[in-house]
Amino acid sequence: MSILDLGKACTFSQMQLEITYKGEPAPAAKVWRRVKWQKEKVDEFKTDEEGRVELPEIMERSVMQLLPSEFVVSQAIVVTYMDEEYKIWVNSKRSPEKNSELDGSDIHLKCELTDERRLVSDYESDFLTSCEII
Amino acid sequence: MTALDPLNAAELADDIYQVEDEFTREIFYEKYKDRFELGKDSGLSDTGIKGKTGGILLKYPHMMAVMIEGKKKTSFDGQAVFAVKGTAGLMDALTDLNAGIKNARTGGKVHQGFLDVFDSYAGKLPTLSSNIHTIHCVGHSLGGALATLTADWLKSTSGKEVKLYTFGSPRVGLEHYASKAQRSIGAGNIYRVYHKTDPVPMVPTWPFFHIPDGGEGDFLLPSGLHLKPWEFHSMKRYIKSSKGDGSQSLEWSTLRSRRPQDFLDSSVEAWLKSNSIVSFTLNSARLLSAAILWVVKKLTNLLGISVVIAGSTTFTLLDRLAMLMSKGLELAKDVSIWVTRLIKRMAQMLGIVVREGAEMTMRFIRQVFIQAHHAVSELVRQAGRTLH
Repeated sequence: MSILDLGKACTFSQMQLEITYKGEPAPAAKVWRRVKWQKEKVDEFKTDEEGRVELPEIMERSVMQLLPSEFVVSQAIVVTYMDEEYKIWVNSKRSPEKNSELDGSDIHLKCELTDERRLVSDYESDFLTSCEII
Repeated sequence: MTALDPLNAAELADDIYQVEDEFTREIFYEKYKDRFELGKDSGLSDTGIKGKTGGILLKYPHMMAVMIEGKKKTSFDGQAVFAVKGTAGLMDALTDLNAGIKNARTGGKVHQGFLDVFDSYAGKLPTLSSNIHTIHCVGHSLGGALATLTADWLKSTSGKEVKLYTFGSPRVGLEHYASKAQRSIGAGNIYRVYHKTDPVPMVPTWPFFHIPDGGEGDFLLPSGLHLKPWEFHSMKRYIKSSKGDGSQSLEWSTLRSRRPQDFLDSSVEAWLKSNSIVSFTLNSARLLSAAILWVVKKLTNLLGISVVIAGSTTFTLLDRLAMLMSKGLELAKDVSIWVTRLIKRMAQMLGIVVREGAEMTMRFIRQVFIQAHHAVSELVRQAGRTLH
């Protein structure tokens, strides 16, 4: 964390993704990320030959920090592969600490695009994902 | 009809924050679809309610609540839930000295900021099926204020039993509204949960009243030792308190038994009489708030004067409160002692030196109230600054 990040809230923690399609790595898949706190932030990434990609953390400052209001950040990841879209991650981040998505653990997901999205209720906040948490 | 258990109510107050965003709405849908009728799509287009906040930050209409009916043959059969989220855009209004008051639809005066938001969605509340006999209204923070207005409105219009659950809610209306809404909903149907160091229930400052202020529905919870005591406003903390050390919900009676020692009339009286130096902290502000309410009740009981002077729109509420105090000084000696002590204690807390024999003019009283209000508002703002 740089000194410029002091006082900022983590709206998306660093995330390692391994993406497969029918059991095989999905290279050059487009990974679209949307993070919305007060403003919407959208960026795009591409998987490497092994179907891997790392999404960097996002640190933000907002006027909302000046008010005793609930911390609510909307996160979504959509993968486009072979002209099909797969919404692999939908989460509401409820705490400004890093890795609060998984109650403090590093985030490493293995995502088989053909898997069904399910509700995961094992952590402080529930989220939807089709990925396996490793 | 049985009430929601504390954890169920807290989770609804927490999960409703997911409905504002089009993506996270789906999480709410997946979690509740087996127990409630949520409509045909995960975007909650049939059951979501859009409202418009009047604050600086969020003026656009957005989904902020749901009204959902329990599914047949589930534990929610015959019951409906109205859950509404808080919104930071209203927070400024809470500490605004010139905050207006308006007549609630059901009678009595309430905070204009809350009423404006309530009015923006009240017409969109759906008519419930005839088999619904109980409506549970739930909200956290400013959502608690909106849940209160909605519960009072639904009680007066639906003919159904209404239960109200709020977490860290600010005060909604003046005394007449508070006592009327409490009577209408029924004291046994209200669950007002708040942590001792949560700053939001301290605003708006006097003469707004909680529903209820004390009694069976007043669930004051300990905050425990923490470096940031104001963090106890977050839903994360309320969920934790509703579970205790386990993963299951505690009973309401268990929560009630955890109530920390509150200010008794005798301790308020002792504080007013003492000359000890106190600084402005969350705790002393709570004590001051209790002392002001204690003196206001004495004044209104003995003098039969209402804090709000009907038809008057030129004065702020604090002006009216200063008028009431000033009138108390003139009219009844029994009470004037307490008014004098209160003003002196407030002045002391604010670092204002009151000379012996100095006259308590209305201008001076007003000034003390305004400064105290600023001090409390600053405390709440400071809490907000360090909450995240």
